[in-house]
Amino acid sequence: MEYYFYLNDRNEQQGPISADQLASRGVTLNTKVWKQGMSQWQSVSEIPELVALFEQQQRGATPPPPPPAFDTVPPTPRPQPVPSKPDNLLVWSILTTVLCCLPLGIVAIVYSSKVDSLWTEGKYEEARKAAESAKIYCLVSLGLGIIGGIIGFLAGFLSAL
Amino acid sequence: MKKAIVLLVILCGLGIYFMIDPESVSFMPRCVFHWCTGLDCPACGTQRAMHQLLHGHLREAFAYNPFLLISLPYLGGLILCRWFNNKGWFDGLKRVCYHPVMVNIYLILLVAWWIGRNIWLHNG
Repeated sequence: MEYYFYLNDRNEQQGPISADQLASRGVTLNTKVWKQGMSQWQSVSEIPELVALFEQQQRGATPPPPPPAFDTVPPTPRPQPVPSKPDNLLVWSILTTVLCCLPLGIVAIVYSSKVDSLWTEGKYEEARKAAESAKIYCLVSLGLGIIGGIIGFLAGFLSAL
Repeated sequence: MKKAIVLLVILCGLGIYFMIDPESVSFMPRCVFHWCTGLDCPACGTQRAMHQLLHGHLREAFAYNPFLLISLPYLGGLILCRWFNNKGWFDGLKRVCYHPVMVNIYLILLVAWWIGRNIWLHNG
């Protein structure tokens, strides 16, 4: 450990004291200090090892500063939160195709099959729209299937009369 | 809860198609496409086929709609992946069933069957 002399407020020589005690004696970055081997008195701020030491002691006393903001590098944009993948409704599309006996189900399957591939390409909005279309075609298919069921029922009922 | 509902719906459906032969009664749902156009849709015959299938008459079932040989296993796989895959047992199956190639093959076969049955099998 190096020993330093320093000049107090009244310009009186003090010391020698060890470097790590300087701060506790009221030495600031502007205080003139001297140690053996130096040609003249110098401010603490001119002696890199003391500046480093002061900074280290400051950090010890107070919480570390927040991570430095790099002024030269623009802050990287926060990645947009990835919305959750819409259900591709493939099951429903095929169910309505098979059970409701309707070709509209095929359209639904086409849209369903697009959902996942669009999603993996990162086209979230289009994937969502494809899922939406698949849903609409499923519902129309289902609705027509139910209407078909009712027609079938009525037709059978009337013919039985 | 959702799983229970799905199972219930499936069981009800199977029960109805086990007890009622759509061939002999007139009140079962009709295919709107067939009703409008006189043509068969890809799934026409499914109800009759299901009835036969539930009675163990495989040959009769697939005579009504041979495409069910493809549709039913695929649909079964999809349902397993969709509602019964909580523990990840069917992850492999899911990759296969939901693979774009698989879906496209199914679509192409479906459309081919739709056209084919109306050209060659319409009177059958």
